[in-house]
Amino acid sequence: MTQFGRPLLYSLAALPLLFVVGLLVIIIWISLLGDVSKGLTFAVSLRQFQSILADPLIWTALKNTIGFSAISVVVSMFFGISAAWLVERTDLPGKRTVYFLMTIGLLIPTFFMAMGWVFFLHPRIGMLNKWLMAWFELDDSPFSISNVVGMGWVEGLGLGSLAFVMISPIFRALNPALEEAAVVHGLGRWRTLWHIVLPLSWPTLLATAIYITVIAIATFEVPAIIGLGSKIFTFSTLVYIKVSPDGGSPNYGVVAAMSIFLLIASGFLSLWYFRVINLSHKYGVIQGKGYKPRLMRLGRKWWLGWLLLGTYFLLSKILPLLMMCWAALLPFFRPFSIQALNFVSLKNFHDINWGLVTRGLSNTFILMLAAPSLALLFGILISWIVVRTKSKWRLILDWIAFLPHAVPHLIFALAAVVMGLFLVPKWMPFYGTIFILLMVYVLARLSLVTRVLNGALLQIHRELEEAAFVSGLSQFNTLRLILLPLLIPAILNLWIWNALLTYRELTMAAFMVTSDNITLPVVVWGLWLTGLGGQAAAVSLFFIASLAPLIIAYWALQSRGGVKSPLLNS
Amino acid sequence: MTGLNRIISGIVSVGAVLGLINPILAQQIQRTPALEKLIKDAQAEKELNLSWGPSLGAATGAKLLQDAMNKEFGTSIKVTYTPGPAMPQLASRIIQEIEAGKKPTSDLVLGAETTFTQLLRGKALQPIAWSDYFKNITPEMQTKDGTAVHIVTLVTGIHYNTELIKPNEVPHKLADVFNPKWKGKIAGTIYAAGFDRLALRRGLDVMRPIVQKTGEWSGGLIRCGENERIASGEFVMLFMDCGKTDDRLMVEKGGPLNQVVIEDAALTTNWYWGVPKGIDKINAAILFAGFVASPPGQKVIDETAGASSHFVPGTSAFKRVKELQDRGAEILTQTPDELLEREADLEKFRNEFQLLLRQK
Repeated sequence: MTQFGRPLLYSLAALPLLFVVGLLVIIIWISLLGDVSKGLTFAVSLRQFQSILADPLIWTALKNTIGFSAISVVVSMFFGISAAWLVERTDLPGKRTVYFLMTIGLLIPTFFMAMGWVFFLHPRIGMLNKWLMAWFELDDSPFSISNVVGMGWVEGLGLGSLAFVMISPIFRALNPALEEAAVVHGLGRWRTLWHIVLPLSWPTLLATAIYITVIAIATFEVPAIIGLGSKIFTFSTLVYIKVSPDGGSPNYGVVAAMSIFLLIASGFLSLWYFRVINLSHKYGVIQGKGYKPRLMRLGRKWWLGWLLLGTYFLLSKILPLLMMCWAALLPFFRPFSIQALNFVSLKNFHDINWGLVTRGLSNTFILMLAAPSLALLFGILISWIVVRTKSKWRLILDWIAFLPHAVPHLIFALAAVVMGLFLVPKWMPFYGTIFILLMVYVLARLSLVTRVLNGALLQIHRELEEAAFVSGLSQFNTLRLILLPLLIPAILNLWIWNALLTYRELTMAAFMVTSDNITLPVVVWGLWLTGLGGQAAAVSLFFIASLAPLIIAYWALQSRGGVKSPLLNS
Repeated sequence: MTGLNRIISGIVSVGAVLGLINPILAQQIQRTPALEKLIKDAQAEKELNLSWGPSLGAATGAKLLQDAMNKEFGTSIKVTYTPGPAMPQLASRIIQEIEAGKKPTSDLVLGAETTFTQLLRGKALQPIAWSDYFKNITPEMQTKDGTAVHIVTLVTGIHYNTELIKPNEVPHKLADVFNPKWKGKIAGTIYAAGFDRLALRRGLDVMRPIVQKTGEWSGGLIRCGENERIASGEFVMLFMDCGKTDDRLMVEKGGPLNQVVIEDAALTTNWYWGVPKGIDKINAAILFAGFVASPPGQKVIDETAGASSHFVPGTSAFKRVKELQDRGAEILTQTPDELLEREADLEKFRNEFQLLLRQK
């Protein structure tokens, strides 16, 4: 490698990491300022922290966030563990389909599900409640989605797929000898599951639960769709109303101070996560080359397994889809009935502002192409330095690259807005442009990309590079001609996965968009926010339909064995 | 005036007298040299980026206004509409963007009088000599310095679901709203619309218990114009609303929706356009705002959203305000300039009331 080339690669690798650190510094900085509205100064104050302690809504939001996260974890773990066990430890028929549906489930936007559940179980307009009240002549609705439990239930259903893809590898690799020994000693199937399988898997189960908690405490979609209109605030929705106040200036200082608490909580959870992951080697569950897992025979009871899985798919995907289809046909929502059929029309589709949808779609497509590509470019360079060089900076680089995993992404979004408003010069196209979204999307994905690429690089033996080096290839050409072709499957896998996640991203976008850089998920959110539920449902269906070709491409690649969820490798 | 214009003018006048043509139609925008220059400069700018909430027919209204304006002035200006947050939220954002020296999110800002006190205090708007361009825009339709032009007058009250509230139960007084059977089923506005202004007139001690009770009775907070959520039955009513607007669209679809004025808490809500500082399509923005404030633009928003200015004779707002005045109703009206003088109190009341409404 030339003397010029190496610093260039190092600089390129360090660039996104500088932004990661920079954005976190901005959050800490503005949390310590008395007044942010006039710009960033150096007048330090604890006023923002004091105002947090005096705000009664903060404590309500904290309580709601804890309850919401806990229920999300319980629900997602229940479905995730059950599905993973059925697929990996039993002879359930149709496993491939389950695998595909669970993986794809990760890509269906949670806001879509949340809207569907509002139409199904809202205490006053929910279809099921209306039917039950009519049939049994009830005065009040028997169920409600508009509370912390309901929100947690919906979020948990969405995260069930994530729990599945994280848990199934460990169930697959579980040492069958221990189970066989348990059976020999007379333990039944369920006692074996309870006393052997679950205790052996607990580090992974706990790590998954922690990972899901980190996501749930900062998630925006479900609390915004279900909670915001019903006065149920969580951390993310409270942040939203503080940065979009109904009078006065956006309160970035208070939000930053709130973010500090969230950062601390997420930081501790992430530390715990890694401690648990590091413990897992003590639970050496993988047998070795001759290992073949012993599958539990379900016999004629296989349908019970499919009943559980079917219930999950019905509740998490099919039911919301049906609700959205029905809502999209109505001028205002009402339960299905013969009378309601009189209101059915395609007016919501006709009234869609296609100019806006096209703008959102075009921005989303640009981001979908650019964000994964840039994240991969930076990820490859970072992973290469971390895994393949002896640079003294490599551990620091790796640690910073991991930070986006521990920091809730909406904090990056807020910091980017402050940076765009007060630090980036006016002539530079950043605030209110697609570039602000691009930057944050790339930074947010760095941890996943580098975790997967670190693993993939470690699997490539150094002998190949040494041979190339002996043959006179420079380090850069070795990376280009030897390593990159070998990394293609992992790169392709990551690219598609990140593209799909970018397509459905709402949490970060909701805090950064303006009319110029609006994305399709934000168009749907905007319609919902303005009370146009029917049109929001119609655009959502268009959104899901436009996602279909990508999902089919993903399925096709997966069928050929080229693509699988990167979460399985991370 | 040419011979042809005289003939058209004559037909319009006769039609108006006979009641065959809406009087609004009879009024035309007078083409002054200043307006002609504005049209030319606006046409050169080609486009306009606008953002506001669910009011004025939202995207449909924006498109109709764009077409009507282009037809009126012979222009081909493209209006790009983006659904925006609530008026005060958008104003907050625009103030912040201007303070930071960034281009505002929207080339025009739509807001009620309280929103405009916020914008005036933030010095976020450009003074415009509206009357130089549009002769129909009278001084009372503007703020003192020309930073805002009046386009809509609404009389506040409640929006209610006619299937869930029987005619004999419809509230007409404040006390009627707090019927025990509606507890947890009514909606408030996220910005505590109207309560802060009433508190300026009646005092904080009088309004605080009313807002507190509204908070207890409300099961959720929405924005004015979210009529679908009332028509669907998600809430039995919205109290206190911002006035009757955009109802017609919902009623035409069969939505069970109506609005009634609360007699002991009636006030007008007035909407204005303002031109934010730092925009690069200033001529197109002035032309669009002035057009909406003029009779042909008023006709469009009246037909689309049921919203219009009581300053423009012949509009539905003109008739409604006159009818209420004839009935002797006491309607509280405050201009942005008046409210600006008591901005500190207004902000204090608003913050307290928003907090009361947000609590469960």
